[in-house]
Amino acid sequence: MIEAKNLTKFYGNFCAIENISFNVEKGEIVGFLGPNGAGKTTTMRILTGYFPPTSGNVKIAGYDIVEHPYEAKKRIGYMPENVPLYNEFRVITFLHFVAKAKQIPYVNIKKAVDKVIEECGLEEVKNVPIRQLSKGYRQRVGLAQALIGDPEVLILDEPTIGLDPKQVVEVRQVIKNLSGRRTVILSTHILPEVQMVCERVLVINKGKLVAMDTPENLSSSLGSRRKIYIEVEGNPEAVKEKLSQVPNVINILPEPKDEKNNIYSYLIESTRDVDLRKEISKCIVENNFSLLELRSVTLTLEEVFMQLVREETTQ
Amino acid sequence: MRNILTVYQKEMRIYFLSPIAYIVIAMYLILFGYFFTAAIYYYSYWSQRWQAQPYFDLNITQQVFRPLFHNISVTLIIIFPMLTMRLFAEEKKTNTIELLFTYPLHDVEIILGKLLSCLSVFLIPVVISFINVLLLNTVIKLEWGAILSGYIGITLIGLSALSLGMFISSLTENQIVAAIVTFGILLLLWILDWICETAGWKIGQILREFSIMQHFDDFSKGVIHLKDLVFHFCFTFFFTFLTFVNLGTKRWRG
Repeated sequence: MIEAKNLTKFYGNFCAIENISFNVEKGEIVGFLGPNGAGKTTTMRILTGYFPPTSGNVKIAGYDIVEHPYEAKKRIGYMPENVPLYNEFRVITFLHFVAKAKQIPYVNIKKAVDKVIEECGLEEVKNVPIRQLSKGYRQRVGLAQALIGDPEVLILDEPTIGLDPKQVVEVRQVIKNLSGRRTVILSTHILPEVQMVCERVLVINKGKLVAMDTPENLSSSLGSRRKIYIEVEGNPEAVKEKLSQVPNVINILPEPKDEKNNIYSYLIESTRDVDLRKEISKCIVENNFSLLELRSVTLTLEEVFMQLVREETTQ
Repeated sequence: MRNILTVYQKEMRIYFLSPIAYIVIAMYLILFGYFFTAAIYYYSYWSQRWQAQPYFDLNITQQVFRPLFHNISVTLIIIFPMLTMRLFAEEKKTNTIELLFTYPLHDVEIILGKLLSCLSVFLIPVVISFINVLLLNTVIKLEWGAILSGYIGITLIGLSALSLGMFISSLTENQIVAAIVTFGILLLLWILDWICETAGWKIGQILREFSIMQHFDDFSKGVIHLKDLVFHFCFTFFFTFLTFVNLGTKRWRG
């Protein structure tokens, strides 16, 4: 649905994004993750045809955004950062304008506008001038204008910024409901949002695409070490000594859990390619300690993000 | 075509949802009304003199309408910037231009929609002021050809100056700057008119060709000259084209 190839954008001498390539299949919800200034908004602006890339090309639904802008833009719903709206208009008038601008046939406009008002919960404020709306409602109007006409591709730049928790949940639900039907790219730096809503994540840092995978794969594959968490009842010194004898153990981090009952937790780091759960459980049991809990620990998305973003060079 | 109408409707709505359109209409009508009344008083004084001593030509077109149109075109220097200052500057400042450019609208459609909308707002008081002329028609025989050509001239000045204002508005985010620069340039063009009058030399001839007012003069006399029509359309096209190029360059640069 979206094919981006080697997108590069220079603002004068400053390179905003460099050689970004990715594909988004129909019906996928993809997240753009990256620190501020990484190039997320620039990439989105190129995808929506706001400005062309310095080099590279983008195809939306098969139409090149630079060569066939009309066809491509008809199929895109875009919600820019900071949600710009025409403040003088009333909500319903604005949505009518957007429907006309998006080339929706005249006979379908009223239905399309009513549908989107209902979807975004704007029923109560539809006759209110936009300048009188609160931030939450403004954001909803912004989302509504992107959804009008049910476009095949939705590109949302930070859709939940500034909303209160209840509204955030509602917006995320609206986005999730589109999964499978519509293709969505949303950019955010709220990591839990990515985990909750997106099927795939594209991580951008300093203008370069640093990672592209599902959130789970990223969490598990990017750890350079495997971590195993155990809780053992027994003398910590002795346990630690026995554990260090297990091959491939790099580090053991003991923590007191319940000192009265002699229960300590241990975070064991091993090298990436070995799964030491069997060896460790055998070691503990054979040495007559009580194994209370054993589990694998994967990196949280936060840690993945920090790690990816901290790296100066890409793989 | 349909898109031009969409943008046109949106712009007209915005004009009338803010005080600007109403202020401009009121200002034009008040000023036109004043100039018209003053000219008529002056004319009626002379017509009484004429009854006593009929030794000079008494021509209503020459004595009322020509100075009327000339005076009005001066006040337009103030009115045009007010109409055009928000065309692109406000869109850039509130970033709604990002919406416009990502909708399936061609740049040309956006520009033409905006130009036509501010021309329409300008033409509303012009048409309303026609009532004055109709009232005058009840007491005196009027030279309709001259009057109509004067009105056509006003419309064409409007088209030219508004396209200039639109271009200036597309250069900046700040509406005030756009208004002041537009006003300054229109003022310069008006002064150019004075220079042409006093300087009969070669340079005067050349400058004359650039002046909007010089090309209006014939309209106020009742003469519709092809070269004047061509001038106004070229002027309009030139600045509309510049606006188009400017909008495109900003996005394609880099």
